[in-house]
Amino acid sequence: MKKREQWGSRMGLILAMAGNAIGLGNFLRFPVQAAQNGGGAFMIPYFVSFVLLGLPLMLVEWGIGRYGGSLGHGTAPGMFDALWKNRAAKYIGILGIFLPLVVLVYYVYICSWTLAFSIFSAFGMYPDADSITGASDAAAYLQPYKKYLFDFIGAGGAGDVLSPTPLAYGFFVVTIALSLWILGRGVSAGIEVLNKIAIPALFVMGLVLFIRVLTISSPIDPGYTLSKGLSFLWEPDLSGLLSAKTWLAAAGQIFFTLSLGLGAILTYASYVKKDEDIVLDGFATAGLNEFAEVIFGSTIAITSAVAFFGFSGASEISKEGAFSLGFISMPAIFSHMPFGGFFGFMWFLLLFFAGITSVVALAQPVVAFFEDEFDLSRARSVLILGIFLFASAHLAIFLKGSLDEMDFWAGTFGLVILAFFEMVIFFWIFGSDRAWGEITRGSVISLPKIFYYVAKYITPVFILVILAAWAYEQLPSILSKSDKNVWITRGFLFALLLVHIAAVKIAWRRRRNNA
Amino acid sequence: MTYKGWLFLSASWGMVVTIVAYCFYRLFGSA
Repeated sequence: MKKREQWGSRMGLILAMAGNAIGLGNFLRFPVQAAQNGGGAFMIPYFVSFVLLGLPLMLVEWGIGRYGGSLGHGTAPGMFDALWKNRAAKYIGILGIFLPLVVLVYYVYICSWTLAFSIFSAFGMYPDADSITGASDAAAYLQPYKKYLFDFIGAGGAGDVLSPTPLAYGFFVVTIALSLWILGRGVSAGIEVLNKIAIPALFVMGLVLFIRVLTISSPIDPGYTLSKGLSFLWEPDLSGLLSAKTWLAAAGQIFFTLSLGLGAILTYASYVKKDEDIVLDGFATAGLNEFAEVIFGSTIAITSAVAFFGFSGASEISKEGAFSLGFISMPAIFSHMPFGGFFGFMWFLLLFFAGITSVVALAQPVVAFFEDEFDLSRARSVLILGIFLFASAHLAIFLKGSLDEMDFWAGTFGLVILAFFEMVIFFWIFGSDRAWGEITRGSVISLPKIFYYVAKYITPVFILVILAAWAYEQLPSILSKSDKNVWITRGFLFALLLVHIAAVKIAWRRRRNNA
Repeated sequence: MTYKGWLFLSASWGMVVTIVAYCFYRLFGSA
């Protein structure tokens, strides 16, 4: 068996896994989800989902990844095939490459916006706050900033095609080139080094912005206090506890924020040492992610929006979604703040670090698949990925609605399906006692046995309920979409899936012939 | 914010800080 790469240090591994999990969702998606679903009340289903879904799945993904890595497999097709001696296993595992790749196609483009906006902040290129006169409400005040973002990504027109500025395209090229260069340097010298720099820097910038937001004063409301700002998200509305929508949103956020069901953690875990304590490492990763999300993510964007636009303004902004909060409301706030350029630069650089560390994590499964299953060199694997990624990202860049369509199938629906198969194959087919033994091997802390029962019975049922509820709630409206761009995107996804099936078929035939 | 809000906030932040502190203590503190 070919010798595989390994992480250089334990701290490097934990920071890389944290970088994998911490992404744009922590700072943009989380506050919007929480604000839309009862504020403080959202946190109860959120933490219940964290314990019943997040932690068991995190440990299962680390366990499957380490087991697969020890057998020379860095991706789900090989891992599932090793766990389950069935011809179908490797084809189910395709989701572990397909899903991160689809997410990557649009995520890398959004990541490039954060790099661009950090530069725009540093050089004061936003609309000037003093020039905005006569704005009577938050929407009117935000209008120039909305126009700025829409002009940048070319979303202002009425047609089916987006027309981003050459600058937006340039930042996309820079971001993709930087990601490929990091991937080309390898797991330890590339990905690990990036995360050793980016994640501590992210936490320092998060802390600076957190303190700034806690000491903010409102330019519109003299009666504004920190308590008022925090209450927007933390005042509990317990009626939300009885709402299925709140539970679904909370569970969905746990999947998204911890990067579960994507295959990216499986691949990173395949590079750990045989005797690595994955229980402690897994908990540390989840803990760092939650720190970034629950403390920084809940505070920075929303509390400053309440201070500047009041309760109704912040509510309008959160209803418009994550992009509105991050790329429209925040620049408006920074442009009205002393040293706003500096804080804006810090905010978008924080997002860029969160994004780029996730970009390389989403890309690594494809690279690992080529290296492990086709014996290709790292350089060649990264080159193939780069050509595909550059070409296919044009769908997200130019086709209106394409990004949302990919996000639904891969970033919302697909990851729940892969997570379900991971739980069933590891705990029910490979065997619950063997799975438990794999997870706890080398652990210095004694994992309570209750986790065994939660992972075996509760987590798979919880996932099935989410899947059924989403299918019932969202599938009919998604499937009834009929515009041209949606069908072009679906055609692309279907073709990509066929390519994955063919690649797995060829890899396994090749292996049989070589045996 | 009412006391319930502060309670939610303190419990949530406290839990997260405790998890991180405990994990890092076990990872590196006792070495």
